[in-house]
Amino acid sequence: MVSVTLHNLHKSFARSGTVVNGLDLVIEDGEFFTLLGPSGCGKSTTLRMIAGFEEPDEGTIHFDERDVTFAPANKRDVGLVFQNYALFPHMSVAKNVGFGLDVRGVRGAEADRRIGDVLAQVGLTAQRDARVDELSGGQQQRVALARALVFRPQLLLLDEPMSNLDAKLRLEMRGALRDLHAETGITSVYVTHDQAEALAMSTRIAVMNTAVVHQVGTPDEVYSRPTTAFVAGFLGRNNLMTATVATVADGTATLVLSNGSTLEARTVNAAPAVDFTPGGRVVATVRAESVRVAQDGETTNVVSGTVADVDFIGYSLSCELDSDLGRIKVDLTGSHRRPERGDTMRVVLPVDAVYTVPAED
Amino acid sequence: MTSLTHAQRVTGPSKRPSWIRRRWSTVLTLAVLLIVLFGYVIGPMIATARRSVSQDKAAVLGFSFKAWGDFFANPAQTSAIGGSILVSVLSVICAGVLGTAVAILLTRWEFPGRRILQVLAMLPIALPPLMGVWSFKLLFGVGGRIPFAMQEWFGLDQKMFWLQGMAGVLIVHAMTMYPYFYLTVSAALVNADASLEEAAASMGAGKARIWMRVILPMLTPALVAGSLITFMSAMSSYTAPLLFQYTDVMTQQIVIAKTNGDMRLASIISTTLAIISIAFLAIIRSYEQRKVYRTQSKGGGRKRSTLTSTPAKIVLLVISIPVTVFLVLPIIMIAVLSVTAKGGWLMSVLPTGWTLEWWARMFTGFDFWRPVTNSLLMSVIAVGGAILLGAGAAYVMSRMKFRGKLALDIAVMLPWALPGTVVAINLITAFSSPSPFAFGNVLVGTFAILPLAYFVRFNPLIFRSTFASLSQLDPNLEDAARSLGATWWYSFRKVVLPLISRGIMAGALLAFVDGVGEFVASVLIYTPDWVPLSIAVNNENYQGNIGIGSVYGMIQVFLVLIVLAVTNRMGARNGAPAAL
Repeated sequence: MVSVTLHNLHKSFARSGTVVNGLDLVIEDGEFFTLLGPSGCGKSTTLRMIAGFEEPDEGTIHFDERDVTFAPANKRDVGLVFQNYALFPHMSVAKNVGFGLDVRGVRGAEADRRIGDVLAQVGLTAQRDARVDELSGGQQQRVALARALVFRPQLLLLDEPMSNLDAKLRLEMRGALRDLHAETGITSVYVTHDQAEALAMSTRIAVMNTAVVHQVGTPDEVYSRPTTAFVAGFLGRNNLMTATVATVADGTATLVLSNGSTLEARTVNAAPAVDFTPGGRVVATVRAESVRVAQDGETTNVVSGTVADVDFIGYSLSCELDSDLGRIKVDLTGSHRRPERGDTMRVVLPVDAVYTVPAED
Repeated sequence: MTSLTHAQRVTGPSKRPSWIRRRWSTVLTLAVLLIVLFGYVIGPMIATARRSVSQDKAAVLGFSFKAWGDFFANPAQTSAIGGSILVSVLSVICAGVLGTAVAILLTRWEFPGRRILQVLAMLPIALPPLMGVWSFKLLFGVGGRIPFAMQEWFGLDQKMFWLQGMAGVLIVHAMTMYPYFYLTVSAALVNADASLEEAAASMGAGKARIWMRVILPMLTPALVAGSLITFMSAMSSYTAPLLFQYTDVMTQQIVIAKTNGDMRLASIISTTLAIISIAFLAIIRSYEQRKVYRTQSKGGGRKRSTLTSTPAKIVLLVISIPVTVFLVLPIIMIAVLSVTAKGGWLMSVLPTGWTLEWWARMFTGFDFWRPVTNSLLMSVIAVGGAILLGAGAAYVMSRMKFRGKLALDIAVMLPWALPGTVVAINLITAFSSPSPFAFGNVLVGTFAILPLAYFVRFNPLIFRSTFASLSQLDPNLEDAARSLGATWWYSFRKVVLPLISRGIMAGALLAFVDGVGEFVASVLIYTPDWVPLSIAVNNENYQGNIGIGSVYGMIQVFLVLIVLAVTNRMGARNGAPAAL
């Protein structure tokens, strides 16, 4: 297998402007690496440059020591799974899967055996001779995967492969993909805008927005220790509040919020780039699941507001409060009296749950 | 943000391949395309325009715009321009009313005989271009059987009517061009979202209001598309004015000028007609870019309503019987003529002398078959060339990015818009003297000129149908093949070609049908050694051997029917036919 090094990649298009701006990434051998971000953030273009369908305006792409920046797509030895699968409609399942083998001169019994093996791996042995348009979406997706794997590429690229599947199939495929990665150990680059997929499957995630990478890290790192306000806001249900540092004492900072009230935060619970000198601008974040209902007499980090929306989603009550800090998202688990719209509610943003990131310019 | 240890370890930046190395395939394909387009389409058109400003009537000599001035000052010529426009507008109205009525009749109501009528509605496509017009002339013309029969049946002293001049031209146009409306309007009606009508009805709109406010506006794109094509076809029409002796149109004036040896005047009229055609082509192409109303909801389209009331059934029968007769009559007429003895149909409603003599000619030797084999051979050559160029152009246009794409699109489609007469004049002008595009030979007067003319005219047909299939092709398929390791050629052969072959075939068959019946360009440039089928029909008919002409006509009908059957089979397997 292979490691992938992207160095200082730039790409812009006449219509959409700069799509990738100075991208540096190292994808280690055997990783399941995810490019995560909203649509238009440049993740798909990055993938297409790794695949060889686009050339960067600037920068280099290396597979191990080999410079492939301008190598044609068919010389890269990369398996690619497309969002719409791009199966050849005039070929059977076996012909589709065998395409990459045929190109490489692997034919006859050897090809049959390898096609059989990979179809068994993705659980499609029975559909070997079916036409691809007779298959369900999930099965087509597996054919696409088998086709990309059968010639044992050194790198597997997946471009939002699950966006056309229904919710239940998506969960199933997530597991299947993880198993497949564990079995083959193939270096994989996965592009998605779905944070749940990214968090569940990846060894590491690069969170992208507007042509740049905001943070690279393990799922736990990007979720629990975001480095920018964008990452904090993009993953999970988070409350973001701009604030100014007032005082710092004993590892606790007192922040002044936009409505003049104060919020206490631990200085260790902060992104490395946060500047805790008094007067510095920061963004305080508190995840919805950390917010709890205030007890009588509690005053530190308490916010009160009017219930604007209540959503019962089974394991939790998902509420939104209108406060003078703006909307506050609150997820309540356990037994609670179900709040009604218009109720007044006092909630605590626990000091240990406040995480501080630098303010955006 | 990221550790750059790997990036620092790897060697320096690799070189970007040069522009020409990355683009050589685009450049090469474009170059071939441009050379062919310039040599056989644009170049000859420019040559004609050049000739129109010659100082001499016959030779190309010096520069003078005097002839252009004379042209616009000559009442005969200006009246021909007006005549062409008038005929075209009236043709749009006649074909539009007939085509829309038949489309609504067949898609909206279920009535006895609907299925038969639906099959017959497509008959005009099988009508051979020249023999079809002859058939009309012999039916409705001065000595036509219909006026004669009316006179006999009603015991009149004089004929009630006969069609001559513009009226004759219009009836031929209505019949041969109404499919442009019938096809587009029925497609629009079938695809129309039934829930829109239901929504309008649920809001309290009555039937009349639904038609005015919902259905007709949805038909607008279909009607506009049909009108544009009909207008252009009527403008190009040559055969109908020829046989009904209506000389007050530009296509006739071109041939008259050429016959009088005034090639400059012929060039002036050709250039004027070419400019009108280019303008219309530009309008059509830009109109086609715009969105069409599409069904947004799932589920079936509107069901045909079955008529239960007797008066309504009678009304529909009264409408559909004459329509049916009108659609079938021309082909029946050709069949009847092919078994009518010479002089066997003079002063009677039906023929009195029957014979199989004309059909027996088929077995008299190869000479009878020569026009048939000539047409087949020339069409096959032309279609073969057009597949290479037209399909190649379609691929270049759909897959490659370059500036000036719209201009190239217009240039490729141009011969489709140009009247056959103009194409012929252009080729005569360009290839009467040795040309580099004919490897230094003169082509006029040789076998090559007709296949070349057909080739020029067929390119757009194959281009269009191939382009349509390519647009439906997921571009990711080619990327997928490339990433699986395929070279461009391998992926083109194994993935692209199999998927667009039906589109190419559909266009090729359509072109082939056109080639077998081609008359308009042929009549101006054919050589006596290589007489095509339509010219043979014309020659036999003018010599009074209408029986033989009709047998040739029937052969054309059979060839067209075979091709239509093949196309339909392909369409049935493929979902929908790509062309038309």
